[in-house]
Amino acid sequence: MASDQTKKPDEGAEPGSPRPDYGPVALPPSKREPSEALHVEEWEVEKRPALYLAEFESARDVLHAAEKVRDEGFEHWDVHTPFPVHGMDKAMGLGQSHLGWICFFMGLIGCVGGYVMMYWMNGVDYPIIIGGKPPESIPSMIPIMFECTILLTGFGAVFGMLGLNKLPRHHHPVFYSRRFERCSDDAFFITIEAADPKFELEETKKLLKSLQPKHIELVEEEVP
Amino acid sequence: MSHDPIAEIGETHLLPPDTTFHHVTESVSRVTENKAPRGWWILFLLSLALAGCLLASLTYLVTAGVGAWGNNNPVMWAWDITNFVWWIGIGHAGTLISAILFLFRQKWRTSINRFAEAMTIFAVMCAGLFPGIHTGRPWFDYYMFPIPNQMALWPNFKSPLMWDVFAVSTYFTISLLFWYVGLIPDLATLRDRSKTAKRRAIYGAFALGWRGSNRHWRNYERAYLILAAISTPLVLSVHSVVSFDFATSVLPGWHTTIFPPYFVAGAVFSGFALVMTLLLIARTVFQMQDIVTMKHLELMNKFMLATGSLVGYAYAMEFFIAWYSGNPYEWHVFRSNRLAITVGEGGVSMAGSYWWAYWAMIFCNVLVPQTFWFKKLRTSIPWMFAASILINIGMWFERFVIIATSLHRDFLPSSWGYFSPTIIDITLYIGTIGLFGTLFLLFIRWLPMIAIAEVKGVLPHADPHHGTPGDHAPLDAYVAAESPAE
Amino acid sequence: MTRRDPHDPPAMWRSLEDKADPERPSRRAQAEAHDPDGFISADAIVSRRGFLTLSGATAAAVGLSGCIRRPVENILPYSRAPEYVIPGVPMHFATVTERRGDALGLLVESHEGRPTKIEGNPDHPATEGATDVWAQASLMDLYDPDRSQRAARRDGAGNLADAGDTTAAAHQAFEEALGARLEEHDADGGAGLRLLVQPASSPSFLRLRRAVRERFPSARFHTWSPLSSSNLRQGAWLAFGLPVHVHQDFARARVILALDSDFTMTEPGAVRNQRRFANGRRLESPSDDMSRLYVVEPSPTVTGASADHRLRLPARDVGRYLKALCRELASNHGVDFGAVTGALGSPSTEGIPEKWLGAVARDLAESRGQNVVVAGSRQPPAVHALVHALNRALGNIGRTVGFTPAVDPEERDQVTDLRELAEAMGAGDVRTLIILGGNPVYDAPADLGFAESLGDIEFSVHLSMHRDETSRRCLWHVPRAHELEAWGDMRAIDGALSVQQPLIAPLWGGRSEIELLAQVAGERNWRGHSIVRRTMRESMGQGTGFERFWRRVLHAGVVPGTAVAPGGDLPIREPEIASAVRDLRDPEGALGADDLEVTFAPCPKLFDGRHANNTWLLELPDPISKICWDNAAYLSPSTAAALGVENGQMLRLSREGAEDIEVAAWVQPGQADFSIGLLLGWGRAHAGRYGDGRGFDVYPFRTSTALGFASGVSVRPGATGYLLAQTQEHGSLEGRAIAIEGTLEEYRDEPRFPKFQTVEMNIPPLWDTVDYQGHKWGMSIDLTTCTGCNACTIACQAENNIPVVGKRQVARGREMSWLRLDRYFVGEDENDPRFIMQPIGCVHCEEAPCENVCPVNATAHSPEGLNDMAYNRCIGTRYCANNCPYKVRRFNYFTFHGYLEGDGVLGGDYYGVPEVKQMQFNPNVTVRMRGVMEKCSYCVQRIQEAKIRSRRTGEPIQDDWFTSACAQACPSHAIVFGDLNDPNSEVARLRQRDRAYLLLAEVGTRPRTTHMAAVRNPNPEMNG
Repeated sequence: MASDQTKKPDEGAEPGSPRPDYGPVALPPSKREPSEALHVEEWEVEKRPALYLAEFESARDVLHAAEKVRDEGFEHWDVHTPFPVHGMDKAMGLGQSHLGWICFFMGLIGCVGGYVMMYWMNGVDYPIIIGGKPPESIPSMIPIMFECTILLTGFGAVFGMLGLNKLPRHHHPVFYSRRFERCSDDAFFITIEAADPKFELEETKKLLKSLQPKHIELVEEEVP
Repeated sequence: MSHDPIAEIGETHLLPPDTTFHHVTESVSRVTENKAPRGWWILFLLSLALAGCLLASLTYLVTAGVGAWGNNNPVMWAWDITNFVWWIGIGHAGTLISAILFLFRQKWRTSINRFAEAMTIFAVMCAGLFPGIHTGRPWFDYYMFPIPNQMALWPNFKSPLMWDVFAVSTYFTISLLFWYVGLIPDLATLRDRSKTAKRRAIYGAFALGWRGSNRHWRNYERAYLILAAISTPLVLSVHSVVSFDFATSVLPGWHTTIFPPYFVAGAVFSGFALVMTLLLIARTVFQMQDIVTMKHLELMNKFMLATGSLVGYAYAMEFFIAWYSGNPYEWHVFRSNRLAITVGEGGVSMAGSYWWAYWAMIFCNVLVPQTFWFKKLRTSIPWMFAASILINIGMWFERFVIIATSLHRDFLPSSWGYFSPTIIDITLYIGTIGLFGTLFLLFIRWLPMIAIAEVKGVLPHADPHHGTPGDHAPLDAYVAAESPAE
Repeated sequence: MTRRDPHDPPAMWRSLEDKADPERPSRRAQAEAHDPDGFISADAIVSRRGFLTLSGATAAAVGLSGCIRRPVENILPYSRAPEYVIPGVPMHFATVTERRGDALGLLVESHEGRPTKIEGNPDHPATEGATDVWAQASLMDLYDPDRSQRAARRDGAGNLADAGDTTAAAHQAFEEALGARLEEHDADGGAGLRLLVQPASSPSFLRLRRAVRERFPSARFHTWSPLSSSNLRQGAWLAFGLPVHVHQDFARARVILALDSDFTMTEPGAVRNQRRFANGRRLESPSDDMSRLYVVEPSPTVTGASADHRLRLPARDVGRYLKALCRELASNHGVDFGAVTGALGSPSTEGIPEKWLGAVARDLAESRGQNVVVAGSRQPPAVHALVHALNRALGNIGRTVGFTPAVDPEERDQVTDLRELAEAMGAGDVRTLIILGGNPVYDAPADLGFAESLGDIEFSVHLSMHRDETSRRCLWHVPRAHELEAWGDMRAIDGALSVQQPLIAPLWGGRSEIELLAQVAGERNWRGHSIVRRTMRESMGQGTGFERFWRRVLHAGVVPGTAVAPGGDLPIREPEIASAVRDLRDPEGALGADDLEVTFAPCPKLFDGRHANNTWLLELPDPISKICWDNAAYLSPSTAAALGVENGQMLRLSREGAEDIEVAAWVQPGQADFSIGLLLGWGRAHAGRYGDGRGFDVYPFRTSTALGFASGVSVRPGATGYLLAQTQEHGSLEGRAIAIEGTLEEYRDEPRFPKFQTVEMNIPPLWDTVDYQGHKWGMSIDLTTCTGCNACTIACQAENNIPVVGKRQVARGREMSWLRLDRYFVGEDENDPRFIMQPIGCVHCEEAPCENVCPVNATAHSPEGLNDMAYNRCIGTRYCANNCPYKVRRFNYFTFHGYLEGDGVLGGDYYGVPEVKQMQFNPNVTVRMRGVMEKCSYCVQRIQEAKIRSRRTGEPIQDDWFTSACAQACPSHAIVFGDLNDPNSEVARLRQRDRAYLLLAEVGTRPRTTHMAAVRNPNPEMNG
């Protein structure tokens, strides 16, 4: 079955002609039940491979597989799991997340901002004698300064996370694969993207095969 | 991220060892996919009716004025603020379970934290209602926000009520974000399981295109950790600030330094009780005994025992200080207004005091939880259900005792009075329970009420080194921490 | 105190020709000649604009503006010449009002012609700048929306129906009918023509009475008022054989013995009595002396509450006590009663504590010539006569007791007077009856059958402000003009003659008594103005200088030199007294559960019922029981126990010769055992929308033989649970140092004794405290001289547009009064406690707890240290009120303005306030809406006014420029307001006074209001 892998996927792309079998390929969405149709006239657009999708049995398998892929020196690849698998960051060779710094600075802004706001409003812009106390007394400001700190830190954490993850992103080649739907249930995947400099249809597929995945599939995407 | 339980230290599996990932997905998601059981409909319609009566009484209240309530001079605050503190307190357990237990790596939280967080959010909604409507002119509430207004006047940041505004709104925002962040992977699950385009579209939209990528999990877990880390001081601060409303005043019975810790303990206490109540109902209605096991329930009861004892201690200490301080006004509040040991010329009539409220509080909050010392009661579903409800009644009375009994007889005997509620007081309170129920039932019907991804995470075979101890041991540090055997 | 310009204002005139000939008929008068509807029509009132046109008339007369219809009369501003008149700047006019035979000189504040506030006239001897509750509240009577607006005639169905479509037409119809009737009487010389009038204190009235008699020789005048001074008069007549009014100088007396006499509140001359009494007890320093007051009374009154020793004694035993006391004085202290001694006999002293004879007698004997014995008008003439004899024997007469001639020398015993009328009516001898004022059907003694026979009279007329119980039984009803609407003149009990000048043209075209009387007398020019001027002219005999004199009188409010200083020495007629005393039998048998006594007292709020539709007074808490919106039957705790009666339980009282009445019971500490205190003036059937059916009518129980009190009463307890709304439910001080009192000895031993009971916070503050450079307003309240008469409370309500909330809301504890009078019971014996009164408004703490907690800066400190409320900023969290240790903040739970008019479900609204009532509002004070907190503002509007004046004139604010409404009203001068930074202000001095203390000082609020401890002057012997 490896022989017919040599053909370029775009060869049989002229309209009407039956498509050669490249092994299991995620069909473009329009071939699915109409209810799930994406609005793509697929015979007009030409396709190109987007990524390989290798499915694994368990967290343990995918972890060890990931270590191998990491050692191969791929960059544009990823692991998809239903839950965060412990040690996967190390297995993928990822460093620390930068989210902490974002939150720290947001918190700082909140704290100082809160103080400046109160000082200006009660002490500078419109000072009033309240209970015979000085208009800008710091002790009474502490609770609100604290709350402001927390609030902005929280914003930092959530929106920082989404930013770093480039989310929301509703279109991604992996979603072309029906198998991938089980990723949020009990399936574990490794994806290697065509964008990766070391990506080659056969080599990469071989590599993946060597990891004894449950299943491998090539996901195609339209050329924009 | 789990390890085999060590029998020697009495560890057992939280969930049946044979539970598969798919089973978890299945048993949680099916609730949102199958037709709702009759039990759900009954509860939902009931809650909806109550929510309706909330709407009605709100309309009347705002049209007529706060006079629709029983509040008077000197009892300027009564059920309104009592309900506010009660609801906000209930909210705290949610954050505590999701945040603090997370920081302490209490894996058993995963079966109940989503539940508890949802409860927090809805409880805070109900709580936030009261400060909003208890004002005489609610349409001017925006004066309380630091925004320019036609009065060209700024809020007074010295007022604990302003601190409340910031604390509660922050608390609500952070809880909501925390909850939503936790929901994202599970929404993705529902999206991927959905059979119809509509479901797929809606869940998909909220799932933000989550694809379980580990590069995402990395930031996600960090964000979750940070949220947990800030929610912990936040939840402590919120009820401390609420207690400042009273503690910073000059009123005998309010002017007490013990309030912040005392309030926080009480909050957690009541929150856990409500989680328990709801959990027991949901667990039965949706047959999830194998995900929310007796182990979970027992642990929660132990928590209630602990916090209940803390609260009891606070009562005793408060009382002792009132006597020990030698402040006649303070002592009078406790002796006559609460205990109602009536001495003193002119004869303080028993009827004039709130002894019944005080003793109801003592019974429900101090005595009832003590029964959890006994394993038999700790593990009896009917009793823990009854107890959880009693505790929440007691906690309502605690707030009422603090507010009303202190106010109704303070410094000058000439201005002493008595508070009795009107029908609107009652309908409003019941109504918020209806609102809470409605929101909560909608939640368990349409959203995963158990954190699917997190439960999977604590299943034994979720651990990549499952069955191969030693391998990558350092990564598994907490196991060693938990069980010296390793 | 009142704002007055240093110089005398120039004479006033409307126009040059008027100046030339003031008597010439004005344009207005000419206009009326051919304009039947010439004067104010009720329809004109309906629109606010119409009203302003009207009320402008008053202002017009002082030349405010020209382009409106002008009244006939000139009235003169008290203190402002018109050159100064600026719209928005109130003017003050001097006038006078009648109070139990005395005349209270008033100063009325008028905003663009609307009277909005009443003060006392400092130049008038009866008030000396103070006022009483009723004077303050009479504005509400003026603006009562239920006042009668048309003359009305009884129709076939027996109901009153308007006699015309307009006020004018109705009046015309009445005048024609009256004219015709009187012409008939011209024929028979007035046979069968009777007039029922109020006790006369008006020279014009006396003149017109003569005029009427000239026209109708056989016409007869009868006098009736439910609260008469007949007993006083007859007592004086017995003792001196002259129609005199007896004065007591409570300022000079060292020892005062009041026998069933509430001389500081409800007796004639109460305002001046209270002022003098207070002066006699004012303590500047420990070296000062203060009088000692003994009170013997059945039911606690404000006078009894300020007594040093108080004996609860049934009213019927008071005479017995007096005799026993005299006997004691005669036999043990050599006091010589002359011929009277024999008449004393040996009265039983049963039920009278020995010390109340021995010690009191000794005290009186030792202070001869410096003490006063006074009896209440409820006691029979013989008691008064004996009191006079006692005063004479003690050598008080001429020193502390003086006389002035009675205003009306013809005054007779009113009961006999009324009985004769009733009998004549019964016999059908009365063909025409003209009732001027009063409400006899409601308040006449039940046994005279007056009400029954009134209906049968062919032609009966009732002049009254409401279509009340009496009007409804008469053929004709004529709307009566309020005191502030009509011209009149009045003589005070000390002879001071004053002119009552209207502040506003009659709102509903009412007539005054003298106007109607003038019509009866057939005077051509019957308008009040001409009547009064004519009287004045005749009596004064001022030929040429009259105009100038007249203006001076109007301006000053009192005719100079008419007030005679009480004094003189009159011989007493011992034989008459002796015989009278002999007839004064000891009541036989002791009171008990089956033989109780009832006492009838004027209500300290509604008086005799004439104010029954006055919302301010209806809601005013009773000085002692603190009950509003009701009266009740007061029982002592032990009596209640004996009868098995609880608060709010209905009692059915029955007595021989009187019909039964039902009254709700109230357990009143300090009430005499087996004596039930009843208050008159409640339970009106036709008072108006506010007063109808409020409380319980006790007049049916009050017979001609028992106007003051009666025994032989039996009680049947009925249903429980009648709601009596109180503003203060707890009377014990709980041993707290709040209303601090001490004895004169204690005070002399340690002048700073109050400071030792409170804990002044002397710890240095954690921050720089605010230093108030400019003004620093403060108040001082002296608990020694405060009697608790409530005048300040109503004054505050009138000044600050404070709404009334109704019985239900008061019961909920939502009354709005900014200034409340706390009444505490002191002592162990709950049957016989001491009383202490404490006025509390906002004390304007310098470190105010309320301010710290307000989230929206709605309450904050002004640079002068006032604790201000910004109503439009307040959102109503009520946090401030919770944190106020004094609980002086009031919250508008609903829109209380117009709440009584509303349905009680959705709260009221400002536009629900009847328009005529809106006229009372003080334009310088915000009318608060619902959801807003409010409280005492130290009358900030008056402060601002003074500051504006200071800026205008350039001179610094003087202490006497202005004061707060409460301080201005207080007859005791117990409340003082001013600038603490002004070294020579009175309040600054008082604040340094040793007795001054800060209320709840230990809370650290640093109040601006200081209270001064109550000092009592008990007789050491009495505390045996």
